[in-house]
Amino acid sequence: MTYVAALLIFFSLSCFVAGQILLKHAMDLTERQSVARSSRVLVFAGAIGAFAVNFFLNIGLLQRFDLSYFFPFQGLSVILVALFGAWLLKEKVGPRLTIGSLVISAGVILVSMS
Amino acid sequence: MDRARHWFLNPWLQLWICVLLATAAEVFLKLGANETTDPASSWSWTGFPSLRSVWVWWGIIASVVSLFNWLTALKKLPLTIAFPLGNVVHILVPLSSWIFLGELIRPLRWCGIGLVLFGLAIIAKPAARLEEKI
Repeated sequence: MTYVAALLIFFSLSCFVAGQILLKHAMDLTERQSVARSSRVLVFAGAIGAFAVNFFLNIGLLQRFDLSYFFPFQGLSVILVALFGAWLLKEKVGPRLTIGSLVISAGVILVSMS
Repeated sequence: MDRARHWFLNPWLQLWICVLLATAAEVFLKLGANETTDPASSWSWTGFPSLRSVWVWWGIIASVVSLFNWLTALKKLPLTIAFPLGNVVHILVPLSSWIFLGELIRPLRWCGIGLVLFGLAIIAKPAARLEEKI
């Protein structure tokens, strides 16, 4: 795998994670009456935009990699969502999540070596 | 007619249809990507040229329908059961790659896939419990 490909896989995953975080943030904003509707729509549009970039980048990456090679990388999104959820949305990260994340990371490393 | 509708809306059936369609979507997208591969084009990384392929559109349709199946299944099934079962897709996708796309999966890759699945199983239970509470 080239550096460009690794960077694009990471960027694609980041877009997916950003989409999830923005979507959750948009849903949280709907609970608050004080926030303007235009702000909620903007955050929601940002989420959809991030998902769209992720989708098209995935197809671009599938042109170069086996599906069985590329798909396990999506497991990393679980870890990234948890980390960014904890950081940006102040959600709790338990020990089980930490252990699971380490196991997934080990699996992804094995796949990338194959 | 009602009986057939009732049978089709069975949450277990809906969950399996969802998993199968999510797997099919990945295979369709890969077929579409293969069909439109043009490494010389600087646009190919963006994935836009692949919209020419019918397979990509089938992939999009399968993804959208699988989302509706997932929502129907979640109406009846607890998330603590549906969420871990949904991870079957991480087994079905490599299997489909091997069977339908003829990809060679070396033992090292199988081990990696197994570890990813095991890690997801560890995380899935508390994650689903949390979602259930919400």
